[in-house]
Amino acid sequence: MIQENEALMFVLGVGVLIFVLGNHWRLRRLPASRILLAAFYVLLAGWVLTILEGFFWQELLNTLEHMCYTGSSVLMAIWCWKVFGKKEGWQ
Amino acid sequence: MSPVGIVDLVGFLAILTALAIVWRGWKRALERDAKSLLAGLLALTLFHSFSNTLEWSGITKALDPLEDNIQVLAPMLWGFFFYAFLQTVEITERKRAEEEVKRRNQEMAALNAIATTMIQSALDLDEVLQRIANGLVEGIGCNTALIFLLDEKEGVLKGSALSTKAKTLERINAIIGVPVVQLKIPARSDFNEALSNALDGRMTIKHDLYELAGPLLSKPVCSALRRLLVSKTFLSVPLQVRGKMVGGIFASTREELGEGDTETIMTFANQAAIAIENARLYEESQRRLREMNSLLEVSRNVTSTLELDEVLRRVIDTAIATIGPAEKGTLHLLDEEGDRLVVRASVGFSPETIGMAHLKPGEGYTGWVFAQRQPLIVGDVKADTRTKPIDLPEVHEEKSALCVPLVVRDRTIGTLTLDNVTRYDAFVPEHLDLLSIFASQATIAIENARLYEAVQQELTERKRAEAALKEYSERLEEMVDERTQELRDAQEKLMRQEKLAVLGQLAGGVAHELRNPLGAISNAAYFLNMVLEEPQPEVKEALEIMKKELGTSERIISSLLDFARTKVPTQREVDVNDLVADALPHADEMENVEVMWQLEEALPVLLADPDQLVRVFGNLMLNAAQAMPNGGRLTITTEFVEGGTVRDPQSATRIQVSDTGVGIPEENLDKLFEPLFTTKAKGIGLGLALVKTLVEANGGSIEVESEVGKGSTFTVRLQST
Repeated sequence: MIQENEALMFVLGVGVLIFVLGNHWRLRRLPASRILLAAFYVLLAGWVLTILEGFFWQELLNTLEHMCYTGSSVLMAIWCWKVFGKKEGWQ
Repeated sequence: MSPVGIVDLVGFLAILTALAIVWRGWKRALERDAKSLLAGLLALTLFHSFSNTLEWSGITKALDPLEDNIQVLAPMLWGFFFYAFLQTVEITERKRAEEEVKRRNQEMAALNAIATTMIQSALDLDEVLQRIANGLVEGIGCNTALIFLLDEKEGVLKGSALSTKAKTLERINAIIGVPVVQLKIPARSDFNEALSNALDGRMTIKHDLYELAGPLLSKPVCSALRRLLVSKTFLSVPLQVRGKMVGGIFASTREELGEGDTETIMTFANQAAIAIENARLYEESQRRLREMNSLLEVSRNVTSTLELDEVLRRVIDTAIATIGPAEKGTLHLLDEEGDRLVVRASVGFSPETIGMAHLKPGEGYTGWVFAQRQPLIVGDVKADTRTKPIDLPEVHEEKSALCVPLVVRDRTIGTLTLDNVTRYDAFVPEHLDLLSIFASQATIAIENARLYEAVQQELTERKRAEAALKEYSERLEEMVDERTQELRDAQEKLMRQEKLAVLGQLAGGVAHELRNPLGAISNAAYFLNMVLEEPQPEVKEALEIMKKELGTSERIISSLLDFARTKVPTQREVDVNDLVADALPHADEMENVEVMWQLEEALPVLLADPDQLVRVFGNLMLNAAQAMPNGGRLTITTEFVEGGTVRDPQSATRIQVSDTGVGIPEENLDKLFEPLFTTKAKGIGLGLALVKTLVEANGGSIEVESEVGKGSTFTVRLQST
């Protein structure tokens, strides 16, 4: 079953994705933008999986969903380290 | 814990790590105006950790409605995060760009100040070069800067100024082996990449010094220099003015160079090149000014005299003194015939060489210069095909020469040649230009001196001609006077002769006609004296008077007849002293007269008519006695006089009859020898006329000197045989 909050989250996520794709060349100017965008894309994938688990393969997709969240968190941590952890990261 | 829980835990730990990293970087991030970025990031991260923590800790179900609502915010937070992040980056970049512009403006202002100082305050080339080097070190931030200047004549770049922060100059020199400012780089594009770029007006930046300085400097030298200078970047920058390379900059920096830095350095280099060009132009103008002053001084020196030989000597001396490399020199002038160049002045050559150095136009490089009317630099005298072979050691010594024509009013009058005996190619085009200018001045001076000499010569000739004309005029006057006098004399002589002829004819007729009556009277008187034995005293006195006057009449008639019948002299050898002695009148006619004889012995024998001369001397002595009625002294002098004096131009026997009588007034002297002129009461004025006639008939002359009251002297000159 699809939940309302999950559907809303997906819709908003797609909106952000459109924003990201529309401003892709600008966002590429951000430091370590590939990692940051990857974190977003992985998180977006988790939100898709959340919706999909309501229809089939609940256990598997739920596990993948959480793995996406964790992967997104790890990528964020890496991005933070590259940007703020290095002395000259934020130039 | 379920596998999903473990995964969530990992994600939770990752979030914590991210928070820790952000916390550490918080302060730096704040300094960079990243507040909005961090705010969004923290919100996002907290949300992640919150949602993950809920499921991992098992309290998800208790907070389930809240969690669901919070999760809905996740995409919104991401969108806000991206937006805020972009804004922050753009703001930061804009600020950074503004700061960069500000920094660049400050740098350019500083650079402009340095360049202005370089260009305006310094005109000495060495000082400008040093300021450029110092500007690169102090203003641009280089730690070493070396300036090279292009020497077009030698075709090399020469090290000219060095500036370095470190106290390493001596060590740099020691590593290179020569003072760094004495380095020379061939200005060829094939020397190395940096030089090729520089010649094309491009900057070269290298991290390896050898790539920039090799093969001028070896690899070990480059490595040692790099260690010494502690530099990351080495660069060469061309110095160009109007697209023409005037030199180059070699510099090193401790830091990497950004694009702005290279632009700054190029701008600085352009300013520096202008400053160098200005300094060079100023130096050139100063050099030209010095040359012009020198030429002015030289011209004054050369033109301060008008004596041609002195001008020529000064020209050659001054040319050698003015043209640095010149050691010897010759000045050829075209001779009057116009077919030979003659050495008129020289320095450093023997007379023997000068004698052989006369040339025909077109002969030798000097003749070539004369014929072509073009200045010439001979870099190697021996190798030049125009050189005239002269087999003299001192000529063989010459290695290079400089020759210019002397042209005045489109006419070549000679050449000026300077020689150097120590090196080939001693003269350069600047010397040629200078000598050409000098030669034009010298030519004017020479021409002036020649004109002056010609004028002087013409003046001298004119004076001489005037003197000759004047002399001729005077002589002509004298000749006219002489001829006039001769004509007058001839006329007088002719008139006198005519007069004498008429007079003689008349006198002869009269004398002939009177002689018969007088003879009858004389006979009658003689008869009366005979027949009257005792005549009365009055009768006797009358008879005596008659006798005396008849004698006087007889003498007058004889004189008239002598005068009228002057015979052609019968010349024979005579002794003048004897004739003079024979001519002394009778004693009764010399009453109260003292006679003094001053006769020179051994007079030369004369060829003359003795009877006529006796009559001459007798008449002169009688006249002298008659001039001394109260007595006096009669002096008869004979002597031989040598000729050659004004008074006696020819050798002659001179007979003088002097008296101490009454003298003759000056106005009568000219008329004294004219017939019928007399001052005596008794006389008809034929005596002295007869004397003159007889003397001249015997080839002599007579003249008289007299002073009234003191006496008179008659001088007769007779030519010796």
